[in-house]
Amino acid sequence: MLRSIIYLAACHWREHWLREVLCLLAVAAVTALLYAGNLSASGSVSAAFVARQLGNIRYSIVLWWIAVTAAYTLLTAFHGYGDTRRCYATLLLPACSEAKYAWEWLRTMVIFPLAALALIWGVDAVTVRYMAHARPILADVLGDAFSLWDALTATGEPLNYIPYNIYLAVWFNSAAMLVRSGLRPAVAVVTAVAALAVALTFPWSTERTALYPFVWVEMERGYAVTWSMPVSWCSRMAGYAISYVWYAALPVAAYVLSYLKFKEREI
Amino acid sequence: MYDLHAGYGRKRAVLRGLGGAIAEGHIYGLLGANGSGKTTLMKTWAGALYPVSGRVDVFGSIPADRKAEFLASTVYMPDEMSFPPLAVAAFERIYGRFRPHFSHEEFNGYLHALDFSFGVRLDRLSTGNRKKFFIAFALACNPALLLMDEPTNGLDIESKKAFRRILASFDTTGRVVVVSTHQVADLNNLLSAVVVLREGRMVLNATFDAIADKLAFGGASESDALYADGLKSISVNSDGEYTDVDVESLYHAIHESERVRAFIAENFSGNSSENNSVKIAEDCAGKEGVC
Repeated sequence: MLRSIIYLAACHWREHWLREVLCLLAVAAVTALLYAGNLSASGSVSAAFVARQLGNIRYSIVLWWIAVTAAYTLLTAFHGYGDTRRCYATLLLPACSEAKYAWEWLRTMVIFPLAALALIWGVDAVTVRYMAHARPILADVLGDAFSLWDALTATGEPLNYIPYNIYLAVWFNSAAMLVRSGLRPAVAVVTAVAALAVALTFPWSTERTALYPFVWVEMERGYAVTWSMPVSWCSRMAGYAISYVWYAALPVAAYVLSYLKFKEREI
Repeated sequence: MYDLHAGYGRKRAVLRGLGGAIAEGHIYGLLGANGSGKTTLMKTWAGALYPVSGRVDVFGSIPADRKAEFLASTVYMPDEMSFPPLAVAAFERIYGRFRPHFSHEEFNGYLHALDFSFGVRLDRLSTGNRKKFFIAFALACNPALLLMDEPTNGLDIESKKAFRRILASFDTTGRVVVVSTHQVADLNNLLSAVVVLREGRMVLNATFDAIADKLAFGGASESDALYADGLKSISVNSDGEYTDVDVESLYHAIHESERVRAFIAENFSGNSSENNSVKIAEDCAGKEGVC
């Protein structure tokens, strides 16, 4: 299976290397523009303000990274698998379905996102170095700003202890894989909209009442103040456990469905 | 095959109740009018399409499972092709290594024999050169099941000749080659068996030996002929003398003559029907080839 994945990777790289390189360059360019556009007007304000602003930009850039990852998956996953004219369709290449699916997952959920993140990291480092060089007074406070890593690994209710931005990236990837697995166009559009709706209606919040699927959590200024269970026979800890299983089950179910749909795809 | 129904969705059944087996060691001509199900049947054998119902067995594998071993032993050549933007050598290096029996020497030999234009990127090739390239690649893979959909479409006269020569020299021992075509004349003297489809049903599935055993092909119209078109005739082989099978005449006869179809239905056991598909499925159990 590993050998098949390597062969598939070689096929993909030889055919699409230019597209991949251009995509990554576009990610880096947009990231640089986000920094440049948002920091350009901060020349005359305080260092603390700049640090806060930098933190906000970094948070936006992580959201941009999630969006790029989802869009990349939505546009490229399983591309050419069902095209008989493509000589020959990847679906009929002599490799098992598991290897083909694993390669698509690796490419869209691991390789491209990590490559994009590395470039974003690079742009961020260059930007910070440039700012510190241009305005030495900022050098001390830049280190205190909300870092890219903080934005990436931030946790909060209801997914306490699980970085919600990474979770979102995985969720959108799983949904995009499902959309591209061979669904009919109308079903695919509905699935994409539903995936977005699910993400938006997750009770991501530090300021309002947050909800685990099986535990109500009353939030106040970022802190959970009261917990209550919708059913009396379930302990709070059990409710948490079930909630985490539920949140894990959502992308896993999407991946399983997309794999099954991919396996029965026809040409 | 056993009671095979296949198509594009449940509401668009193209193949209806196909049964029978094709034997290894033959080059089959897959003939039929437009929409008769030739491409659908090939895709079903290749594993590209799932049967709606019924069963297909190819060398002991279910094509729809798309197991790596099965895919490695099968090559499906579609009628229309598009290639990635690669040079010949790059394509060979990347895609050839998926194929355990791929031969670089044979590939180059076939390309030269077909007078392929080297030096042009694959996605910029003309239709004819695309065909030549993939014919060479498909044969060099040395598959156990080679399915070619209209391989001579777009080939010039010299290339068709070269294709016939190459295919005639292809070692079919333990293999099955199926060539779908509308241009029967292109494959004259090359085929050794034929499958004829008509409106999604298998009308004839027989080797030329079996056909010549039952039918005689004559040059002029005979009074007792099953079919005659003024120039050629087909009659019952009652004296046991073998004549060369004229595929084109046979194809026309099947499509035009109810009498010929009735004769074939009665005398060739390899054809599909509700009753004999069961028998054939039993017959092909344990045999190598496409059942």
